[in-house]
Amino acid sequence: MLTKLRAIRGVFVLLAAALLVGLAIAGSGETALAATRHVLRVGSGVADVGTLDPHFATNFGEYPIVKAMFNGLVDLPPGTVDLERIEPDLAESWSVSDDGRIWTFHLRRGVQFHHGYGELTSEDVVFSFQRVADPEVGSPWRSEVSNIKEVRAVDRYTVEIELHAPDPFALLRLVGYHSGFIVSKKAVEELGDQHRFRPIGTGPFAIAEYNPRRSVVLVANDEYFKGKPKLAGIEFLFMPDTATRELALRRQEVDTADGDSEQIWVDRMRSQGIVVDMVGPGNGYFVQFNMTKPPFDNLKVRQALAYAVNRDEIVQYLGPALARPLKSPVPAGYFGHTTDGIETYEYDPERAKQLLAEAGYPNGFEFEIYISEATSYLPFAQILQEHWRRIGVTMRLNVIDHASYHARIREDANSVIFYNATRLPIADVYLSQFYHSDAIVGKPTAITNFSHLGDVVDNIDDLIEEARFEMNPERQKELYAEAQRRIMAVAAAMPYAQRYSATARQPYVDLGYELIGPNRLDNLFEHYIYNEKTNILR
Amino acid sequence: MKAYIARRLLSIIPTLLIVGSLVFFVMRLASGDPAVAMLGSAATAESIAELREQMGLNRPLVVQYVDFLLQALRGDFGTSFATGRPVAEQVFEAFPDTVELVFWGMLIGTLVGVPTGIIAGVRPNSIFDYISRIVALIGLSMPAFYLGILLLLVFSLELGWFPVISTPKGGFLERLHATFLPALSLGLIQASFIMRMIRSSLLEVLQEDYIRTAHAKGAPPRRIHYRHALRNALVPVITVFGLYLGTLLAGTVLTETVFNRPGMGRLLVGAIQQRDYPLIQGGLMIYAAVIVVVNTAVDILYGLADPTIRYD
Repeated sequence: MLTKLRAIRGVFVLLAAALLVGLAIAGSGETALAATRHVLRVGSGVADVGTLDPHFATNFGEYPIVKAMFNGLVDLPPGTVDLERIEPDLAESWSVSDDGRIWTFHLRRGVQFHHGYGELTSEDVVFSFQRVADPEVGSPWRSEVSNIKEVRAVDRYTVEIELHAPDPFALLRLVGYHSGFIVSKKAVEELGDQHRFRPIGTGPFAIAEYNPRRSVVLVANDEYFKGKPKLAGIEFLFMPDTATRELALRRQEVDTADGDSEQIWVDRMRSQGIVVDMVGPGNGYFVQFNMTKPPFDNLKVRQALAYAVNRDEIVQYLGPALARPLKSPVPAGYFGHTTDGIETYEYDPERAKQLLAEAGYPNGFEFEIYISEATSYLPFAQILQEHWRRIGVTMRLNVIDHASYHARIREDANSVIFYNATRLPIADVYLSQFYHSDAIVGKPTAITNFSHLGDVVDNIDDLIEEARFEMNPERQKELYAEAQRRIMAVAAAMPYAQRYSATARQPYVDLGYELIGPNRLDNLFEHYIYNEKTNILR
Repeated sequence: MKAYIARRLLSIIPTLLIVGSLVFFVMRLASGDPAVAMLGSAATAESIAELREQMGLNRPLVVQYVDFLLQALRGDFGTSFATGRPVAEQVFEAFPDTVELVFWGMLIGTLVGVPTGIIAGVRPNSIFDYISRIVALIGLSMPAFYLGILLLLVFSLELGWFPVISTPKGGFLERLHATFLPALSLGLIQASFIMRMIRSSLLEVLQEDYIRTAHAKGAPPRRIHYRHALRNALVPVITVFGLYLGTLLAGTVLTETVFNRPGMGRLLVGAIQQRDYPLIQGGLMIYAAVIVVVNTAVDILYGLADPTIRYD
């Protein structure tokens, strides 16, 4: 037995030695990259993607990948969401009929789909919009094309889009984002289910590999109609853990990464010589009061709670580089946002206590809500819990997982609803989803109106709808301002902060476009956009 | 013996059905809607309802359950809501990565834990014993993700010996290179566990009468420790080893997350967050099968360690 044990011990020692030698060899065996064109490595903050089909992509991990592979008829220049600067993409020119209902697009000729799927023609454009609109297909972006009556192919390179009603933002709704991406008819029909992870676009990069929970590899599309990409490809690595992304970035195992939207993280990364950029237009943070549930049906109670919120403390918590106070139901930078003439409920705890007393609650009251455990929800509920405790109101938090929270609030379970959202940066989208009576939870048309504004208190549906189709921008802004004033007057919601996403890159990564300010870029994707001009300089 | 193994393996079938049924109902009791998770928060109630219809979630629960059972009996675990890919395919893709991690982790745990446990057990209250017990206590108290980050900071960021992104790929050595740090973080924690088990088990066995007899008949201490004591001391260790292997296969999620490995833990946690019912059901059933197999193997190992154990 003893000799056996000795033999076993010997084997262990040998194994350990072999292991160390092997590791040393493996460690030194790094392969050299090609000399001129680099592959950009992106640390993506999601654990995996559920789809790479542009008409189904819904999360911030999927967007930048889809954006690198697909185009729309028109586009916003990367780095901006300025509506005035919408530029040609797959369409080289366009015109609109006098009544504003028929848009004619002239397609660029010779644009080729990836992997030999042929030339883009008007058929693909018609097919793409029909696909998004088809309930059978089930695209989450179907409501975005609800104003489109018909899309017609006039000839091989001309498309007509007929709207139900004139829309001042028609062009914005056609940019390469959500419903605006153009897919290949032939590819979708031939590939069927495979199109989900092997989508065929026209963009600067084409799909090469999808490795579940590991990575998506894109290769440069050298035939790209805006020029040959400077990068050889992009590798998106799924790295859900913030600490791992940070270490990988510091070790240059990735070149860019989704950040952690906290001041301390931003400061730490910058001190390591890593560039941190803030991606706008920004996420609006607000609470809605459920006006069907007492005591929140009482205006004075809602106003008291609003006055008790100290926005400066919240911005301090988020960090001045990442956040600013939000004082209107529509975030700043979104078309139509204003604070002019709006009751913004500046912090005033005395006023809050007085209003509570007038409402019949001199000693405050207690209530309980469900709250998501997610870091973009729970800390904010805890801060407001403290603010409200100072005026004698006790909010008990029943912490549940994120998916359950979203289900609960849609069942109208909460009396106060914490929410935050980034949307297409026009007032219409925010107002329609959060304050139109059609969007009230419980209705078949429900989206995210949790306050019941429009059914129990005031109704601004007419304002929202009139503004939606108002072609005069000045008049339109007035209508939006009126809508914002009325929401705040009845304190249906208390907006408190607007937050940017932090995204980081090595200084040698040249995005290929200008940022609108130092470390500030606007896009709709909560991450960098990579295009044919993006490059690694070293 | 063969009949015993066959019986044990056959018991997988009812075990799986019970596990599958439990998961089926527990997931549906938990609120949260797979359709909301897939469509995003701006979806209308109508499109959510349509997607639920497509997913078959609007059918009566009993119908869904019977369907699920019939499918499972045919060995079909369905397709994932989130990716539209077959569940079995996704599980078998993720499994090798986890097995690889657990294998190397166990190996490190055994290589470190068994010898230290023996020495500490044979020489209780020596300096070596004190130090190894303190180190083991630290190892047991340290959360896996914390140890993982410490290892990354030292061996990746400062020394640059190992990659931060430990996603395994390439040939055997490259995979081993990528797997070493995560395996070390699992292995060190496990070594503490094994060391303490072996030490206490040895201490107990060394008090037995037959050990005293062996001493009395003049057998050399080495022979007594290794031949008489260790073999008996290993029986409880093997039990715990088997149970622990099961937890390791299921519980590597933190290590996988910190080291960015796409294994089973991450697959299942992602599935739970997304309320991907078929993937959770199928994944856990396959897990249960593996645990039954592992435990059967452990039971057979008993026989090797202790010939008095008989299987009939």
